[in-house]
Amino acid sequence: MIAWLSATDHKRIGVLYIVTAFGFMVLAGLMAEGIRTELAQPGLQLVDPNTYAQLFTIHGTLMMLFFAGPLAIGFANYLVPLQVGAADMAFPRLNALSYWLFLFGGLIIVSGFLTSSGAAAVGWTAYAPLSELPYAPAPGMDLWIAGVVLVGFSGILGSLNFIVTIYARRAPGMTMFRLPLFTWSMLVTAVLILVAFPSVTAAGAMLFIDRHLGGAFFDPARGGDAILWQHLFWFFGHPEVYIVVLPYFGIVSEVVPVFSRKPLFGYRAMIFSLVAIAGLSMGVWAHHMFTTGVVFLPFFSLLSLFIAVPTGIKIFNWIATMWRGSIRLTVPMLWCIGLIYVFTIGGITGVMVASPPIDFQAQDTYFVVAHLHNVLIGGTVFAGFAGVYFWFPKITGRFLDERLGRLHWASWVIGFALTFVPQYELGVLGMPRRVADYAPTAGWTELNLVSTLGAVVLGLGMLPFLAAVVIALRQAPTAEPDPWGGNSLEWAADSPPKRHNFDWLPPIRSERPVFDARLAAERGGEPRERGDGETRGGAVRAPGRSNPEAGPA
Amino acid sequence: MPEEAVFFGRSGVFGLVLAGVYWFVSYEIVGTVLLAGFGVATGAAFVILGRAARRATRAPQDGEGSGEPSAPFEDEGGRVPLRSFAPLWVGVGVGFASLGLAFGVWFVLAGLVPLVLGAASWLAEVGREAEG
Repeated sequence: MIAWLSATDHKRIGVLYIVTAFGFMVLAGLMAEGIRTELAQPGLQLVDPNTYAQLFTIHGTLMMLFFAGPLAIGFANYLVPLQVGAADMAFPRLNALSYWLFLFGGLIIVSGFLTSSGAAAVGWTAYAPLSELPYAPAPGMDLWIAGVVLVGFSGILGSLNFIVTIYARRAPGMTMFRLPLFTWSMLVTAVLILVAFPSVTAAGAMLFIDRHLGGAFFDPARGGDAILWQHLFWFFGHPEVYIVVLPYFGIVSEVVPVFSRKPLFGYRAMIFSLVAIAGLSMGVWAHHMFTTGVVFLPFFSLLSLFIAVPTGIKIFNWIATMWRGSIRLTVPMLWCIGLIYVFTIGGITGVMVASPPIDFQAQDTYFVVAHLHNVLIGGTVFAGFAGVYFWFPKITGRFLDERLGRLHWASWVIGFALTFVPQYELGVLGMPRRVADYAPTAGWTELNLVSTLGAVVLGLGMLPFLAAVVIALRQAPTAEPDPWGGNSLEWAADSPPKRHNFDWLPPIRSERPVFDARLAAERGGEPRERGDGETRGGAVRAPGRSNPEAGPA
Repeated sequence: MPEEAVFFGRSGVFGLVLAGVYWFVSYEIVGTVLLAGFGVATGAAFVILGRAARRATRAPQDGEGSGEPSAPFEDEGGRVPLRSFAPLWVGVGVGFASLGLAFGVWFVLAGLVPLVLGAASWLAEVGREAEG
């Protein structure tokens, strides 16, 4: 326990992030099950409307800010130093602080449920003036602000760390265009976080000033502007969607080539599409504000439509990578194929709501709820599980059970379709989101029941995964350094890696150094022979090797 | 100019151009300021990285060499820090202090204790490493 509380090793911090993020996911998932159970039938069966509002507020907040993003940051913590050939992050203590701020931020938000008036109940978007003191007087709202500000600082500090690590700690030969796609995706994401998070962090501070220090930033009655909150929130909120999704695109770009036994199709095009998605995402925030009537619709509609182009490039390139490959349908690969199916539906419906006439109809309906979950569950959860199954042997030295993994995957593909496809129709039929009840005569009952059954399938689908993790952790580690035939440098390290990661590094002459080394070894070049301090067959000594724990206490 | 600096330079130009276009199609201040801030911030990173690149030893660039190092890998300062409770204490301090937003100034004061202790411990550790 002491080792975990005092960890500065990027791998331990990565594991902490991943486990904590899954903890918040389970919590938020239980809230989602409560929401869906309430909606299975007309009438209030389980919770009152105020509790229902708290559930969907904290569910959204936890999933967006404390699961999807931090899970990616957990993978990045573990993998980025390994993939660039470094011994650790550039600022290990700052890395640990980022984790603790994230953890305490989440706990503070959840602690709202322990107060007599409950947690924040204004939606994860916390629109002003609803979030102002007269309409949200409970301390749960202040706890929400505190948690968001903390996770904002955590994200900013973490992003600086990633950018410096990627720029300054690369091994010799690891040029920018030899970086693995996952590391590239984290670099782009880190820049997005640096640009976007200050906006919501500042907005949170302004909201607190409004609530308790006599400010009037968002109060129209005192000369403020409620739309200002929406601008500040969505200037963070829409890049946040890509902050959440882009690292997972990186994971898919790592997994698909390995199990297709082919190089990634269009490596540079994938990088440029990452950068293009990030750049365009900075100019689309107000497509969430079409119906306010105060934004210039063509500008935001056009840029929103443009984003489909680089996103489409990525999907085409993944498919092209698989095309005529020697595909192995392992569990990580199945999750990636599932992502392509689920995320593409979300992308297409995103193009639909980027069109103002359709958005005006779909605004605040279940159509938007279904679209958001198609994008975020498809883009993050599916790829997140792909990453877990893919890197679990690297992190623990053990394999997750293949049969349980397939059951997990199948139940999520089926459960996802059952849950969210009916919600598109509910949206078209006019069912608004964020309501705890609906009239029995509305014609929404059957679709809601199917959606709820799907949510149950999703929840039960987690059991095989948890069983697989428990079973694996009870077994002895058997994984070789490179069990899958990987491409990037983490597969040159032991499973799990040493504290200082590498005793040697293969020569880095392409974006697939471990593949190159394996090929050379098969041809008799033996570049993987361990060096004794000298370059031998191209292998080189690695950072931190000579004195791995030498930092003064 | 290293690729990492160019990346920020292009981002800065994109942000400023987008801010200009947005202003002339919307005359909306908040979005223009945010976009311009994005452009200026990434442009500043470009300038800083560009200056640093001129001073520092050149990092490997694409298309140069075979990818092999010219010398055995240097230990990059060579050390990975030992365990440290300082980040945890600072985090606990900030967390407690932020509870003060909801429950009053006493939580802020309570948070200051671990925050100061953690920060002092942190600085001391860094100082010892710099000496060692």
